[in-house]
Amino acid sequence: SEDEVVRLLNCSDHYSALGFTRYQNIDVSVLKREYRKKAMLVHPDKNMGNEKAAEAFKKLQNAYEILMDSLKRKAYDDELRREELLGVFRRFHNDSQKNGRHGFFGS
Amino acid sequence: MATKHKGRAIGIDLGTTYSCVAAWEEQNGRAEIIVNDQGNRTTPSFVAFTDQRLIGDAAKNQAASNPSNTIFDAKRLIGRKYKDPAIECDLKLWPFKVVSGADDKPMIKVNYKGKEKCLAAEEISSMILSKMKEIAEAYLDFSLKNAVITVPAYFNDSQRKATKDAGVIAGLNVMRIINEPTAAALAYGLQKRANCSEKRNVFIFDLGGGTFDVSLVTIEDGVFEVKATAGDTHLGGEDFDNRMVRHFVQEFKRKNRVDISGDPRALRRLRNGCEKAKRILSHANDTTIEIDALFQGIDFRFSITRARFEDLNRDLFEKCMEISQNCLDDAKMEKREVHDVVLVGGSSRIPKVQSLLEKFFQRYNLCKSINPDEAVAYGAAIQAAMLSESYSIVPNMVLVDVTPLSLGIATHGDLMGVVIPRNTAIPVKMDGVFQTIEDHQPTASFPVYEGERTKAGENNLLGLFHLSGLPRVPRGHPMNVIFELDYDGILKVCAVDETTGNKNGITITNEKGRLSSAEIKRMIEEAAFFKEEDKKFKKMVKAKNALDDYIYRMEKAMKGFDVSSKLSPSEKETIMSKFRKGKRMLESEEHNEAAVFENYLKRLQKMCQPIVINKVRDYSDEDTD
Repeated sequence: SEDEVVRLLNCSDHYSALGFTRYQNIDVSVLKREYRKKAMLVHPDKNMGNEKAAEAFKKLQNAYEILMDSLKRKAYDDELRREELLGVFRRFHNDSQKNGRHGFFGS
Repeated sequence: MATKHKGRAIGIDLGTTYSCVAAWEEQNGRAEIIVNDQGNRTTPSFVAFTDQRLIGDAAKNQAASNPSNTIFDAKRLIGRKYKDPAIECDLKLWPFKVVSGADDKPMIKVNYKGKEKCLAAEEISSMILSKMKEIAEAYLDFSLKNAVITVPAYFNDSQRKATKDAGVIAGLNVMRIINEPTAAALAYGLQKRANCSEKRNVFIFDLGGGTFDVSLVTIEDGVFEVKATAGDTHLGGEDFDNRMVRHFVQEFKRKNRVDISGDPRALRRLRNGCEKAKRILSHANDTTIEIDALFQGIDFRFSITRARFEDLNRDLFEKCMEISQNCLDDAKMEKREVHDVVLVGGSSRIPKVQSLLEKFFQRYNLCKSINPDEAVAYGAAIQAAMLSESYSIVPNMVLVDVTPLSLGIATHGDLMGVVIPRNTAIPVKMDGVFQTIEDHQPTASFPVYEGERTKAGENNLLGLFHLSGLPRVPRGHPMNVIFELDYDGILKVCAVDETTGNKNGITITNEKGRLSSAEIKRMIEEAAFFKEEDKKFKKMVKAKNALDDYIYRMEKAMKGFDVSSKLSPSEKETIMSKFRKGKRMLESEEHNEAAVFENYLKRLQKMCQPIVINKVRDYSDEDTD
């Protein structure tokens, strides 16, 4: 369970927190099963004295609640996509600066 | 979060009318309800003050003869304000005196040993908790510190924290405060669904002595997920009793043209009669309450039918069903999706409640197989075992509970801006964005509230903090507010101005109306004082008994055989007069020090030495300590 706590804390999005790939179509019963399995491992009561477990559990709980709710999930997906796009743009921007060329909009 | 707690632990169900204590029994794989010194499995939540302090059965038994100093229903007062509309009606009905103290905190006035004392509800609850602790210690045969205490799921933050304080005053290490229906769900899960792995949606209907709670819990693979909870912290058996008392006061007035409502002793006797009748009506169709010489020598004799009782409480029963519906709505679950409906709490035995519930769920198999009076303590003991390191074999389950009330910040126009909505699983961390409402606002204040009303001011204020050093910008400047709620219900709130990185926050632990650490310290000292007084009283009773016993035996001995060889008639007379004086001392109330009786006994023993030496030795061998 120690490993699971660390893994959860390093997760970058709600999908990976529950062991799925991004935007994957998830069956509710599978989602619930994965949640329960992980909750059993990182639940603060099972990890007394480990401050990080509470953190990890909050993360897991948050991810579970968003993925369970179709509306919240959609909003989250949109947010994720926007961030991805921004990330791509930034990388492109940085790369082009490094190469001494001008970026998209000419900085 | 702390590490696992050292030492064994108990679970305490601190009820409005009755309390119950349980401990985990590793060898049997189940929790054991612990019987009290009277052999009862539940103990009345009563504390009485006379020339001594009584707790539990002893206090309830003498309630009718000492109504103004017998305190009960402390749970209805705990964590509330004196002005709280919920207790306005109770104040009129209680035979004991409640006054408004500092910060509008209700204080209970009692007369203890001829002196007036003001006690907070926390102190009364702590006395009951310490009694439960003693009961467990006597049974388990070692001293205990760790406990899990249950509260109604719908208790708010101040009520929970006040309960925790009561535990601290009682000398307990309160490992956690858990919700009563959740504890009952743990008990149900362990007792009835231990070997079942498929999903069960369990509806817990907990109608107790003073509070009503419903929770929808999903049990699957050992994970207990609370989906929603709802309730009323002021609805229970006591209210049904009140309705009946009011009804009979009217009837008595009509028949005899006398009003008993001003007589606490008569009301207490009538209330006891009503409570008994209510229980009888759960299996009989009608019953008669008979109380001799209730008021001005007039006997009370009235019968009541079950239908009449149901009619008196119809709106209260219907309220239970409404709240049940709200809970299902919050859980987004249909009635038919519920697998089990579990009855908990003494008042769930009322046939009308059961039939309404059957009608509500359109089914006839309500689960009555767990003991409704004990399930909560049983569940608390399971949770206690899970949090303590002294047990190696504990059930492999985890509990994911929810917060019963929404948490948020008052925004412009006193609107409640919810950050954590009710029925969110805890522990949790959520944030919301709030904006400044004025141009160039240098500081923003964040009043933190708890409750469901849209107008923030009508909710329960938990605390207030400020964020200063805001940039001089037009209104609408965003600030991020982060709410963090941990397992023990401790809420941390902080606000961040992301443009400047300024940050401020509070941990809500000590809001108004709650006991300060100095007050808690004083109450702990007071509790020690009460304990000392109890000990003194016991010692005095023992000394009195010893003296009484000695006089009785010596008198018998002097009559029994010839003492003239050792004593002259005048000597005999002196001794006999000393005995008479001793008897008078025992009868009078003026002495209450053990030492007085002990010294007198010693004097008598010395005086009687010459005659005891040979003949009466066998009578006085016993140590009179």
